[in-house]
Amino acid sequence: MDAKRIVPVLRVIAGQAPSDGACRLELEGADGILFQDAGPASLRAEWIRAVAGSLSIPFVVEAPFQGFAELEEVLEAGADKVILPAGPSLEAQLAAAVRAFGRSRVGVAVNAVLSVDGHWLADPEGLGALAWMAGLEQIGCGEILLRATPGGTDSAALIQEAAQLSLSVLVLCPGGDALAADALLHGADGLAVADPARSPRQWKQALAVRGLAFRD
Amino acid sequence: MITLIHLANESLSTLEGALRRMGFQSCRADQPDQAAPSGPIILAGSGPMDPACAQLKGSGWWRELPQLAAYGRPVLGINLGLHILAEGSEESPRNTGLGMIPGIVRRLGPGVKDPHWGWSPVRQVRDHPTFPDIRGGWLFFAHSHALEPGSETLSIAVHGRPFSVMECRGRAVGIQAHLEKSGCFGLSLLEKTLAVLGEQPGQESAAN
Repeated sequence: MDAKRIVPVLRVIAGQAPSDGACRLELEGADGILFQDAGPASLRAEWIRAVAGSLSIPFVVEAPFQGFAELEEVLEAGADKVILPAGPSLEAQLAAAVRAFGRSRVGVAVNAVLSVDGHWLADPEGLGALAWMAGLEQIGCGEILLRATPGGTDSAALIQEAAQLSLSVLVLCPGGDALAADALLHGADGLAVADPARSPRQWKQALAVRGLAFRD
Repeated sequence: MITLIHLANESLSTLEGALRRMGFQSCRADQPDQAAPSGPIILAGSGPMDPACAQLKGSGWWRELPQLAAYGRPVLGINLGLHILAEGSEESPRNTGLGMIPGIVRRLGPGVKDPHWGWSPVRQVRDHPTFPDIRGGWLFFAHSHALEPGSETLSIAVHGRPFSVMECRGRAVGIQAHLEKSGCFGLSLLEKTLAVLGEQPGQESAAN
């Protein structure tokens, strides 16, 4: 049985990754770290090498990669996985990345929005969110980072259907304990959490009472 | 001194950082003549098998690694490294493996998440006179294929079906999990594994 993952989210600002914070989160029970870096690509390799040299848990980098060379640099610097954003060349970029690095090192961010007529659409692609995710899985995507709007109870059915695809689904934490537990109970493989007031271990303790299994 | 075989498209940063923090010395080697004169050789990776095999053949490692092991040089394969040390893999039917560890690597599943990317508990199925007991530990995995457990498999985990986590044949050791990414428990296991292979932190290994 796999454990559900609690993955804290840390922001990288101007090439400065909070390495000390990441190491502290590792000691506090994090199962991985998601670094979000919207800054210049030229600064990424240096902080990634520094983080890789100090962390003993996997870490993922979500960034607006402009071309294959940028994501190649991130993976070769030490990131365990990249999360590709939506964009016009996503499918070609995903296929090239999977071919070079394998499924386990490439994921895609999917922004799912509930339309007024009750259908989940991938934004900005405008396609049905589930069909879009299934297509990504066919190309070789190894993980979906799912942002659902609205999140919480409304997104339970979407998470459940997405979880039936044969790829990992990491859900950006939809809120408090009950909503987070719902996401995991509906099949999400992990939660990406950005709550600095609560440690990963505290998240696990709060969610374990719902019968969810976590790494000790 | 630990030699890390450097495969293209693979990062050694985390493994190097882990070894450094534990006090081990290591060097990267694209080809055999860059290897340290003694000490364990680690082949680690998580990417596709075909290009890795092609690179190893082109660089000379494919021929050298079994010969070094035959002379008693310890070899540790991690994840893709274990697959290459085995006899063959469904991922790469055009290549045979190096055959240093018996068994065939097969795709996980069906009906499971692919890749298996996360933490799983590991169960020891066979005692070993020197390897540490890993009963009850959680390790991090990132793979779509795994070695079928055999009669000499030391430990297993389950992802749809049981698969081999740790193998030891003489001085050749294969580990499916990424110990360097498995927190304190993984680092402890890596240190103990290297000790079994004759490497201690902070000192040059004995001549092999």
